[in-house]
Amino acid sequence: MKDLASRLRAIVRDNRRELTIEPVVDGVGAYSGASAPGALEAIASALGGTVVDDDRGPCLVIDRVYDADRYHGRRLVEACRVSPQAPVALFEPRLAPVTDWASRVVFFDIETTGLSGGAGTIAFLVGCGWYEDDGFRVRQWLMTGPAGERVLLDALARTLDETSLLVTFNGRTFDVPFMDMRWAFHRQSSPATEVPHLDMLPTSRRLWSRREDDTSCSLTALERSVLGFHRVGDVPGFEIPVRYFQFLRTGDASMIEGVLEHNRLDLVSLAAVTAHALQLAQEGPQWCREPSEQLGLGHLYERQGELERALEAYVLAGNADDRDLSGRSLERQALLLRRQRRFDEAAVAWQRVLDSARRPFNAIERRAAEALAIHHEHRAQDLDAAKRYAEVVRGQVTGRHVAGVEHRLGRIARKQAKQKGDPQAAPLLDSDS
Amino acid sequence: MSNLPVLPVDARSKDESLTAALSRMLSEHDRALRVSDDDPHVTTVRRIEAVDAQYAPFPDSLDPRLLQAVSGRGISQLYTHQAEAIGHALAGRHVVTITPTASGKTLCYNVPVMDAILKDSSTRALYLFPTKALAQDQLAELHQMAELVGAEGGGDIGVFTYDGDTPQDARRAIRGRAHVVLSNPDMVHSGILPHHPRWAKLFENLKYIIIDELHAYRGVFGSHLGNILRRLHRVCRHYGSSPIFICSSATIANPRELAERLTGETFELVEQSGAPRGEKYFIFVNPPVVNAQLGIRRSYLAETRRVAIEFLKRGLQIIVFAQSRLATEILTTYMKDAFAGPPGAADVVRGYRGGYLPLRRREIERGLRSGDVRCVVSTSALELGIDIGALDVAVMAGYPGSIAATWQRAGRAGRRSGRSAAVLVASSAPIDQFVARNPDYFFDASPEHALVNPDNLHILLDHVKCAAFELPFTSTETFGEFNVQEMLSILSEEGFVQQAGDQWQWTHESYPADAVSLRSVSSDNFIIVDLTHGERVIGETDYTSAPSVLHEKAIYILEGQLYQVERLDFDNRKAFVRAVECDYYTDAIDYTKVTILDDMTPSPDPEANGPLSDVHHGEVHVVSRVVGFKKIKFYTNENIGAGELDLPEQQMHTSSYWLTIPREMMEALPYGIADRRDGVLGLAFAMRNVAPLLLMCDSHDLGLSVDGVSAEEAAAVTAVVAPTIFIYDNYPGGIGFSEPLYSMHTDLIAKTRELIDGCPCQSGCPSCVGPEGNTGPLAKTVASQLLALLSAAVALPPPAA
Repeated sequence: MKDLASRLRAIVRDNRRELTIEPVVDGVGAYSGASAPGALEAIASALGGTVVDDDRGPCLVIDRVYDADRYHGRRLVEACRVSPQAPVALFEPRLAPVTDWASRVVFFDIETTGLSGGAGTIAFLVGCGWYEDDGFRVRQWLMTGPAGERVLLDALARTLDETSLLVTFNGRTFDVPFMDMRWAFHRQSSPATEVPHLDMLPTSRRLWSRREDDTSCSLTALERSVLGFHRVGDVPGFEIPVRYFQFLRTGDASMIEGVLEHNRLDLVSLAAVTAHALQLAQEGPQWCREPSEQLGLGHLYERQGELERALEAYVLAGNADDRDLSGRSLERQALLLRRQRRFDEAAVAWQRVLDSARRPFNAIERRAAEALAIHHEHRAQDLDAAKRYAEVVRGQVTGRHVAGVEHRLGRIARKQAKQKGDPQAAPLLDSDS
Repeated sequence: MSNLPVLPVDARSKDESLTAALSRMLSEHDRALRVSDDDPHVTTVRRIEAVDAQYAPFPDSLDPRLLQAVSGRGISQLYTHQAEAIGHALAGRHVVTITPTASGKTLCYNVPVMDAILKDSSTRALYLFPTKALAQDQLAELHQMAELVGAEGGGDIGVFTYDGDTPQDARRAIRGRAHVVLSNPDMVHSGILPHHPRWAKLFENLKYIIIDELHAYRGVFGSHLGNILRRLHRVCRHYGSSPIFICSSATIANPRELAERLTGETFELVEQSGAPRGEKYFIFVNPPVVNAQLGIRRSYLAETRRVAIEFLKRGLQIIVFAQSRLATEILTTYMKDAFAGPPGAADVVRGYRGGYLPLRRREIERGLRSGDVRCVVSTSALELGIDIGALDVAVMAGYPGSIAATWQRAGRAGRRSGRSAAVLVASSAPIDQFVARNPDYFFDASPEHALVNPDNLHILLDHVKCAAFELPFTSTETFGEFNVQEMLSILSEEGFVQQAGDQWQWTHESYPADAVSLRSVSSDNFIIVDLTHGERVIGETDYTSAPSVLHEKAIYILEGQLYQVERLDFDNRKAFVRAVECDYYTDAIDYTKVTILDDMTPSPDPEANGPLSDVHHGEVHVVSRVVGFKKIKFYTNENIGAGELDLPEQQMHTSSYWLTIPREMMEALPYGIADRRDGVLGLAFAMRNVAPLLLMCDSHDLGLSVDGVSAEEAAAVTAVVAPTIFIYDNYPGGIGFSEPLYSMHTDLIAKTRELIDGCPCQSGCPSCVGPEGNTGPLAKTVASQLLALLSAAVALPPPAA
């Protein structure tokens, strides 16, 4: 009969799935790897950090300062400082009533052992960045074992207490709920829920997302396209948990060094991207390099009720060479004008959509033709024009849309007959609502 | 056949209809006794007397608002068992209550739970049901109670189901607002425990855990639940709560032991029901022998049809239980043929089984409650407490395999007053014939033990991983009673955990709960796509049974409609079927091979096992593969064709009992090689059917394989070989039947000898060594001689003839 250990080993190995990196499992024992005696000091010195310890367990703190006169891609570090006048509420309407957000802006990013958010995933590395007089300081807390988490959470809580605005990239969905979960794990309420929070991901999507490619809006993609910064030897995200586990088993600081650097660069880039976006919003659409940025800005202005600036942005973006982008911009422009009851200007914008249209129509072009049919039937009272536009629409639609167009054409015909004083014409019973 | 008569309107005319149908059967019974037929058609009729209600008052300490709410539903006092169970719960003792159908089990747990919430609104309770459907069923009742209590000034009591169907955006609200969460073990396993920080409020205030249908948690499912509850205990400890368990169970032999094994707590048992019961008749029917020489009886399905029609045409509402999906579909077809209403009329006969889509099932359940459905043909799926109202008659096509399940199914018919009946139609399976011929065995024996083995290494290991993910183990911690430290160090060798100081930290990217399915070997299932009119999903089936029911050319039957499988896309887990008209169904042939991995037999004990026989138990590897199929004609059951198949094999590691018949014993038999082989196969067939009786387990829990007797082997090897009979746990890892069977070897041989020697057939029949067509002309004779030799080998006095 096989002993228990070998039977267990057989079952465990049988079930093992493919791992991204084969784990190093040498030297297994209670005090091996990162928690071995003396390992902590060695790791701290290799990573350039200090040990924070109380009776609950140790964790490491690593500080780096990015000098104000240094460049991050095309941007000077000093130029990433968020000014108290920056229009943050444009990006996050919930910040509008917050007046004192500027005193301590903290950029925040965590590295975790998994994405599921289950109880067994931890934020082993928590990074915070903020401006001091001489530059941008990044402070990171690293867990070298499970005992260090309470110390880390306490330190983070103290930092959050002093934070007037938390800036993250996808933090509303991931980083903040994740930390809430860790605090809940330790049966504490989360200090993060009270802090005003600006998540830059939705704004970045507005300004820089390429429709066809969602990865275009990752932070590393943005630092390339927006900041002109290119990372060298970066640790890819999927490797991070495995590297951390390796580090725990071996105590080899070089496994984790790249992860710390990855996290630091994320924070600096987040500050720079935020600064760039705020600058765009402040300077206005004229300052944009891309029509897509202008269209995105227009959305943001419109959401905040800055309608004239929004219109300006849409007008500029409407001149784009890209037919799809100009179409979308002109549509926004037309809708905004219509809302302001500037019907004739709206009709001009719709007409510009049709001027560059190709057949078959896309959805925007079809809507433009419909809007023009409505405009000429009801506002301009030009039934011949209305009929022409409606016929254009009929040539471009199928299925359920057909009945609506036929309906309109029938009504226009009846109106025309009535105008000509035809007594045979049916009475006018319906209109557009 | 004509249309159905009008539904009798009141209880009395129902009783009269039932009496009329019963007296017809009873007269057959009398006739059989008069002519002293030794093979009666109705082998027994038992009248189970009506029982009056026994009442007890509500405990004094209950919140007056709760009493008001309950009396608003017309309940002014409790049945004794309810009062007893509530008393234990209120006093903080874990309690398990035996609750027959319609005995008001829900009050046993809803009263303590509502009382606790009224007294402290932060109180939380978790209800576990074996299926989502049962949770939905109870939700309505709890909502009603919460509303009544709320109307009495009890505030807003949140009651929610939380399962795989709960929309993502509703989940957060439920976590915050639910006082009572209705869920199932699968969801607790994969959705709640791994995310316990989000459920902190629940776990901090968890006062009661309700486990409904406790008896359902046996075998693999129960072994998983035992481990899930170990995990739940750890999480509760982390949040500082220690909940009280309130369990309800159908009648089984060991409810308290099961509850204690599953939860690791000490339980009070309430077994005396105070609920009233109407009079019930229990009738055993044995289909008549149509070929005495071959021992062939009339088809039990045809007999079931005859019995069911007898009740149905008298306007009674009936449920017919079949043993398999296939039998369910065949019977549904038979019954629909018999009661085809006018074209376009709603079906009065419906089939019901796992694999039907939920909407269809809900529709059938509603039809049963409203009376629009007069007859439902079901697998065990309706055995559990889904609310289908009280029916008049339960007809069981074949012995359900266990005493507990038989009572449970019989309980589907019967109201608190008035008459009901349960009819068991025996098939020709040995166990059925044993029960039909020995009714006392059924009525007097204890029901089965529900066996679980939470320490099955496969299951345990999976849950230790999940537990390590949820909360780090300490270096002194156990998991239930199990010492997991060795297991943790092996998990650390493979990188799942890492010891740091006095803790084992989870150091793996995976989400371990995802890799574990509580119900079957694999979480996979197959989707059945009907191509008749475009593509339409009409059902699903689990991974294990897919090859035998969804192989190419198989006839798949859904509520009587036949479909032929055109293509089985094994990799994408899809079977494409098309509706067909044909007069046969298919039956898969599988081939099983067992390899011994680890012989765990203690050192040979000649006293126990005799000097000659060779009995073992241990770990084995089982490979099974569907190799072909037979086409079988409806009604006549003629075999009208066959086909070969090439399907992937399925494997499992489990535990087994095995008996090797020594070469000397084989050589001593004065018969040819083929006859000896038939004898061994016949013996194995009979042993495999006797084993569930001894183990008091379900017949499906065991598998059989015989090594050293295949036709090729016999042809290739002219020398006499020593064949081996394997009776294995039909679950990966095993759930603890093999070692007990090994220790009962002597009894197994004796009982098998009784079965074979006591069978009236001449040369083998389906009820002893198997039908003659399947074995050989001498199978029974050789098996009988082998048993004599084996009995002598175990040095026992020969059993009485």
